[in-house]
Amino acid sequence: MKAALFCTARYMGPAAHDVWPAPADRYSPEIAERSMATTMDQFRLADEYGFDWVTVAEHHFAPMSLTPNPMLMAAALTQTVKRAKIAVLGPTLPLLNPVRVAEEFAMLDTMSGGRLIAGMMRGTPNEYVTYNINPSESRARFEEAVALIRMAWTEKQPFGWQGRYYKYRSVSVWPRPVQQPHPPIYVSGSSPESGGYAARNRFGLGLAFTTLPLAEKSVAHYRASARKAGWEPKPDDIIYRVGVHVADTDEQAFADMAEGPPHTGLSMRNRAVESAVAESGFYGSDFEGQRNRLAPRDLRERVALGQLLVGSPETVAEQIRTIHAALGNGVIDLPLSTQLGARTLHAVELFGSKVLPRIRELQ
Amino acid sequence: MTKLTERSIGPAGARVLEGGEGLAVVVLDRADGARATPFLELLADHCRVVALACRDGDDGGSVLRDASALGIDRFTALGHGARAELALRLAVAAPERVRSIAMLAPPPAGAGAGGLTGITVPVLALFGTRDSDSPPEAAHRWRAALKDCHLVMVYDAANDLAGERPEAVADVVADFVANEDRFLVTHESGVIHP
Repeated sequence: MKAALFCTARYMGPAAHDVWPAPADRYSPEIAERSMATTMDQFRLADEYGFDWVTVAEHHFAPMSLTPNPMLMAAALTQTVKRAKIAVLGPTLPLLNPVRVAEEFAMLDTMSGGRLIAGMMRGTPNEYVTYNINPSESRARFEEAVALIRMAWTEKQPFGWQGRYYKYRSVSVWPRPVQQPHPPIYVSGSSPESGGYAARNRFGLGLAFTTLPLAEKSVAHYRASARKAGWEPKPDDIIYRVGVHVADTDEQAFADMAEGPPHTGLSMRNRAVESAVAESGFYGSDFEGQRNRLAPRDLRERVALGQLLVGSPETVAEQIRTIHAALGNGVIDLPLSTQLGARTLHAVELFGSKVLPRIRELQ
Repeated sequence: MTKLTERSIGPAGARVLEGGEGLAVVVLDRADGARATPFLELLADHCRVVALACRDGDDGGSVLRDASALGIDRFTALGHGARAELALRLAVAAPERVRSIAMLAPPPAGAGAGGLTGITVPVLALFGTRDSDSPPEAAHRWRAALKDCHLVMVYDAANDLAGERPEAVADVVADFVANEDRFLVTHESGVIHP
């Protein structure tokens, strides 16, 4: 089992965590700077303690994430994280210029000496407000963007692109990716459509902030679709992202979590936006399942559903064993659930020194 | 979309489809008769489209005669598949008549033909990203064989790219006909609300 430390660079000061977009009326540049510095410390520590990947992602207009452009954070990490792979899971492709994404990913792969993991995501529903993109076109834009990025990475002659959503008269990216033909690609696979798409294209599957029962269903669909496409996914082809907090004891870990802001998924902080996006067809055919995985839940329920790992090192290791037994995943991507300063850094140390050795043998 | 009309020309009464105004595009169409398609009608919104029935292996002499009969001196030669190679032969045989060439899904084997180095006019080569008959990889061969060749991938199209994605193909061909090599620079306005 490989472990990835995911940090959104949460803003550590007082802020509105229950609305989206979040107002910045209490924003402090000093606190933001400290939050960024703490994030870098967490990533450095993860590298030292043997985490296999460090992970960044794109989110907008909210204090839960100070990385609206994860490429910038990843670029900084190429210079400070010396060993671990750098996973960008990911840019929200339908919002972005795909050629620019291809170029930035290639830069990161070059700057990191071939350590890039390239996630390609559709993002959370609220993100479609950010750059004013129609969510009903999300999947089609996404699939075209992925095709264009792969061609930009592999095509050695300048080429034009005449797409449905993207048009370029000449593309020839420099630098090129170090990893050939291109860095490993992971896509989100919570919906049946996404899982089938991942399998048809032989991409890895990322499952994030779901529940274990829903994830089991998604993985089964992905494996069946892959078999139909003539291949068998390896453990490393499946990432399960689940929030984590480790403390010396179970009691301490739960007490720490209670101090953090209540968990509300970004999408659910603006019900009008979420509902409008849902009506656009964004969630695909498994409408109820997709909305259900994002529903607000209390701490104990989230732990019970495999949506959160909380406890002592032994408890968390056991929770990971349960997930692995259900999914056969080779990578567990661990967002630090809250920013508690020294206690969060301690959580990274505890995970690296006491949980990682317990889960290494899982295949 | 501009409707194409059929007419007869020349002493042999060759039937052609014609529509639109402006720079001429001579479409080297199927041997069993040129036919109006959404692609040609969309293209005719931007230029003068003349579709002629051509036999495989045609030396291009009849094309030049028919074009002259229609009062067309210089034109863009457009062909799909094997008829893309006829467009190239025309440019070699009558460089003074062919302004530019647009090739849709040209077969990879054609890139090995002799005489291509003599082609000096701008060439546009379009390939469908799902085309197994003329895979995008084959585009390299055309690029290497032709001095001034622009490769454009038509997303989510197989070999019949003009049939599957008529708007996308007409858009880039019209731009190329009007601007030749300068089509690389967009003239589309980014203004949303003036």
